[in-house]
Amino acid sequence: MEDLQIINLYFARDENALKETAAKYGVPLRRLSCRVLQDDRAAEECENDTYLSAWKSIPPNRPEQFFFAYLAKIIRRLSFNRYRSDHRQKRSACVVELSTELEQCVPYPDGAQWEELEFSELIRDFLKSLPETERRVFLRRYWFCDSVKEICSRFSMGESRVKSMLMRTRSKLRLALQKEGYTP
Amino acid sequence: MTGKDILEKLTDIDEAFIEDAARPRRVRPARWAMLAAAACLCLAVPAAWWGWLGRTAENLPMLTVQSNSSAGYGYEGYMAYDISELVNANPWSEEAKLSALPVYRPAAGRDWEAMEALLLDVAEGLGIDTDELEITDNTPDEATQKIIREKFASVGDTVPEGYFNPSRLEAEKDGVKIEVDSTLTATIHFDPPVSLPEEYHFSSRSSRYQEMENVARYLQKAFAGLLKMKKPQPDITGGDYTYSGEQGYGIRFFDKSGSLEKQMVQYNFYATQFYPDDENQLFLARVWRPDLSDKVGDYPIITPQEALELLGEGRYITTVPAELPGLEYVAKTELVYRGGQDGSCYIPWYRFYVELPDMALENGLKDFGAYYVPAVEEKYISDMPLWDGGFNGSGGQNHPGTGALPPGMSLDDPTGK
Repeated sequence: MEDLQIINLYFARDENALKETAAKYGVPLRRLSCRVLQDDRAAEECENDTYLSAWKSIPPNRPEQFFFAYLAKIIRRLSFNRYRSDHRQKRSACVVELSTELEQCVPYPDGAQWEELEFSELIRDFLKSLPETERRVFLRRYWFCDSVKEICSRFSMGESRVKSMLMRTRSKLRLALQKEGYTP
Repeated sequence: MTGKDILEKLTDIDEAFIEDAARPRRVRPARWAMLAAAACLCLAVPAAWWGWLGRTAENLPMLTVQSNSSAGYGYEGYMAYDISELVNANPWSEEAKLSALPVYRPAAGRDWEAMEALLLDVAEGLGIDTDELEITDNTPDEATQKIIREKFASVGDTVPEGYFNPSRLEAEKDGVKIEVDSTLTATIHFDPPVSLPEEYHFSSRSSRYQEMENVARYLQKAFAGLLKMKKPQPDITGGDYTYSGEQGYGIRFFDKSGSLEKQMVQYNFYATQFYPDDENQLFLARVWRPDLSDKVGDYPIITPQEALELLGEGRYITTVPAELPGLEYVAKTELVYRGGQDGSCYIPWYRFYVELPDMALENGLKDFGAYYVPAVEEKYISDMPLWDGGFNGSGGQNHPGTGALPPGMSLDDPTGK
């Protein structure tokens, strides 16, 4: 079913909207949550919470242009919130690995306070400045939490090329943050 | 702010970016597999099936074969006591039966992804750990840009737009520096230079063919990872002399697998060459991997005999500052690709080595000048050359021939590129 048709079901308050959403996007949404939480059951709960959130927010929102992205943002946010509250003792290997890689981008570790809006604008400009493939690889790694091997397969690239590309992008992000003058 | 904070904060990026990254990617074969497949497909197809390729012989575009490149100093001539001393491993011979060869348009612009891929491929081939390899470009740093701006300003001018745009990628590790430019040529600098075992005499001058064959065998083994060829063929090329009587050779490799047409493409375009310094050490290597994805078509070619007739009619170009002395002085014929300068197409030509009796030296050294006739049938050429009596750079229809060497490459001056 097309996204527009599914959105219309939400607007009509037809509960088939949730069924259709799950049928079309359930797998990638749950996979994203699983990457963060590394727990199937918790991921399933986040998935259900995502549909509930969509039901509550559509209408008035009408995200038919980027419906998947709309849902993916919800589940990602929910997953990280859950990760923070549930994983004080146990840490997700995936989150640890990705966080460690992104440490390279932090120009002034420990104490820099960034305004949410400023950071969002900076990231938007930064992502816009990247060549297409480089941006996609960066987001597959740090937004979708894909493994390097998965990225290699998706883009038909060798492992060294993917790793090198990610390293360069992280360096560019660090430079972008430094230029914006983020100070502790 | 920590790395984990960044990871989380990325959630709120523009949805357009998320959707774009989520889109399934069409799986493409590796670039080289594509090129190999394309080359095999177009070169293995017999003439009768050109129509199936979508470009029939009837609707092949007209070609211009002459460029406006200036000839520079000197002319293309090779000195030897006998023509048999001038050697190379060109897979073509006069007995070869070739009815058509592909013509390519050089890729325009810069493909940074391809340049990076080549750099990493070369680095991996050299056994360099690419995980932490930092790749930079040659954008001048701020201090250098400032100096340049000031210099322009001092003469009342401003820096042209794009002046500081990078033109190549670079990476350096463990004494090896790799540069890749927009023609997809990788230049490898070894610093310190690599010493070969004592028994190998590696020199571009004062070398003997047998010595270079031995060196080639050593290099083929030592750099097998870099060559990455199905059937690496050593090409001991040269054998010509300097005025002081020193004979020299170069060492390159090309892939001799596949059909003759495929070998011709591989010989002319996809070579790897190694260069010695004055201390007989390996100080430089080059890997050529131009983008030949823009094929103009498969063009019917004339026979060597037909080309010889055209040569006799003056339908040639040359940098030799003299008219053709006569067909009886033609010593050797080769089929090579030329072009690529100033965006001109890569087109097959016949190269005739013609003895120049007036240039012979007292010590017996002869001079063989290079004369070129287009190998493509005349009906596809809009500017068929005609010798008009001019010579190097003075308005005659002559242009420098790099022959089988990729554009800008010189056996004697590998760093001149």
